[in-house]
Amino acid sequence: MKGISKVLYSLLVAFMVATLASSALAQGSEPPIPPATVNGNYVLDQLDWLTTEQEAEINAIVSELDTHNMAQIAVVTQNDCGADSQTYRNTFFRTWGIGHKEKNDGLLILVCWYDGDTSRRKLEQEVGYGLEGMIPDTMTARVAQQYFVAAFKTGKEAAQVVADHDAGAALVRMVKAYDGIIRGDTPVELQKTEGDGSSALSLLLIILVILVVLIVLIAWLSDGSGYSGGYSSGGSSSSGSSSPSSSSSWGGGSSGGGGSSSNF
Amino acid sequence: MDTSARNWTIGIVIAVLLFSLVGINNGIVGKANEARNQWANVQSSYQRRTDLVKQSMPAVIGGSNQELAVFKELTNQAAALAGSFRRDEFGQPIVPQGADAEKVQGQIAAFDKAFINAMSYMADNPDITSTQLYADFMVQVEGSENRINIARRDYNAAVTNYRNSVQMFPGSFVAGFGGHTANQFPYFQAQEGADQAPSVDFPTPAQ
Repeated sequence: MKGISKVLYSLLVAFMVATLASSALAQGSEPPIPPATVNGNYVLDQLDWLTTEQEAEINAIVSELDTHNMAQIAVVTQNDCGADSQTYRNTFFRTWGIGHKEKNDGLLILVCWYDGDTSRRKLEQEVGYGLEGMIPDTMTARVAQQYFVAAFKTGKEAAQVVADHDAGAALVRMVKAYDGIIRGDTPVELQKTEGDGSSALSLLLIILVILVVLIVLIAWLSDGSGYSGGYSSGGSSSSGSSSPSSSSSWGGGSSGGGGSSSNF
Repeated sequence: MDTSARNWTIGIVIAVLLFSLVGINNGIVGKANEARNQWANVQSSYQRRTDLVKQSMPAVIGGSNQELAVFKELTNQAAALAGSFRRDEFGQPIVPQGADAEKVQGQIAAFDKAFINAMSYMADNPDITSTQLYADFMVQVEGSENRINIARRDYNAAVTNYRNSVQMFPGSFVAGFGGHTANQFPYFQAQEGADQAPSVDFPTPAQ
């Protein structure tokens, strides 16, 4: 515990010294933000951590939240998040416009891998203004600790955890936990981690995915009124007439820096 | 062109010019208000940190530590900072200007310093760091620091936006009439001596 607190503390002090010394952080070393995902895809898995099923699971859950106007969750795995992953995640969040514009109910889960470097790799989470009440910073840290960091503390090598798609499964569990919190189902402490070996469960999930895809298709065909699509850069509010061929999955929400940053 | 047609043309041209001037002025006003809006965000992000100090920190450090100089100093600085953020009669935050701005930013720097000292004390105290309360507290502190950082960046960006609209043509033409000056909103800048790291012993992280 002391080791972790010292690391946290050093991070904090370094952070504050940077704030004291200069109000404008150097922009030069930040990697470019990848283009936003489109067409009801909420996952950008650049590190190939997720199997197709895991990705579909996440998309199904978030799609439900999105169409019911409850939240938008982005799951992104990336290798390089620049020199300051905390600032980067905020830029990322705002560039994509995660969350419905009127409610700012976005959540970004960003894995910053840095080639697996233990001193740099982070799970960054950014929460939109509208979701901060339901998901305060400490809760994001707990969810990260309980479902994600724990997956890397089983004694397996990190590379193995990734290769076995355990890391991917951990991301799915995190999304499910947030789904529960947002719907007000069960408190985080009582969330049960689903076993991913049961074939009956996978069948259920496949049926769920098909159902959701059907619902989405129907909504899309009836003039896309189910989506709050459209890229927004501070302009007018989103309308329902986005072109169906390739509309951004994101609603143009914003964030002020809430969330947390977890070592793993 | 006969006289009346010429007069109409002149009249229309003048009307168009006036409307565009109004439009330009409105653009500047919008950007000035955006800068004020962002300043309000800066204030509220510092508010968040003072709230952490007043509410969460006492439980984390425990009763006996609250009397220590380092924590009393922090509480004083927090109160002083809260006092120096002024609002007008409608409750809107006033962006401090000129000498006032230096004072407020100096106050902020003093608060930053007191905060680092207090955090440093806490990090070295195993009775404090071993609690779950402390772990949660550190998450909140990081969150509040991040918000402060982003609020300051947003404010500076809004100020730049405003200055551009006032200094570039055609805004520069209109600005004087509306009473908009380029230096109306000061940037958040480093304090003198702030580029030297505060003299705190940084513990090396244990592996």
